[in-house]
Amino acid sequence: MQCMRCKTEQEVLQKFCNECGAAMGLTCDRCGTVNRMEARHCGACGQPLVASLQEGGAAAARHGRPLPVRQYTTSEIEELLILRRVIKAGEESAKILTQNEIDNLF
Amino acid sequence: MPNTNRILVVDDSDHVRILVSKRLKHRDFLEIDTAQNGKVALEKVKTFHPDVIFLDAVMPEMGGLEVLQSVKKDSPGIIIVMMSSISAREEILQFKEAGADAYLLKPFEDQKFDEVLEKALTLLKSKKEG
Repeated sequence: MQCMRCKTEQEVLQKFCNECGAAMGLTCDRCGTVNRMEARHCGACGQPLVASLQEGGAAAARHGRPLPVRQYTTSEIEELLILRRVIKAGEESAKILTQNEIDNLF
Repeated sequence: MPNTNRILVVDDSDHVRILVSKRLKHRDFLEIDTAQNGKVALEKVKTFHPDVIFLDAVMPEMGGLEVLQSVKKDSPGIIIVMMSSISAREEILQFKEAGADAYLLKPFEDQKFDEVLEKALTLLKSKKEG
């Protein structure tokens, strides 16, 4: 994949260009998958990607400028991080263990 | 000659009590008794003085956790092996925090049972020596 700004070839689909730092793809809010700039929906989970892209943001994407992705306030980020920790803790505690895993606990 | 160790098997299922007792009878130097519920188990702790208890986690009236907490409070030297089909990490950790020494997931193979018994007897020995 080639950076639209500096034309440097990137080995993998990633968020930003290794060379100039231009945005390379759209990160899905739901599952975190990095999608191509032109994508309207996430290829992994189907989540609609940035609305601004459909409303003219595509031009910005073509010129390799960072897209106006959803801006979060500090408190929103904190809430998301806390929520993520709570979900992870819940998943961890409900985890079903095998006898070998149980043996390791004792 | 090694000392005889007393093992108490607590389970509301006749089948499990018979199965575990039979398996224990394969071993020398073990004296075995059983209890069909938590209340009887606590009485037998006072009269039979077990060294190791194989304790079912889920029983009517008085659950395994309650029995475990009571035994560990009054007789912390007794080794307790929980037996249950509960495999959720959170619930297993509750038993560990309450003082359980080992946890045997039901249904279990004879080989696994022997392994856990060995672990319990080793723990008992080190507690008695230490």
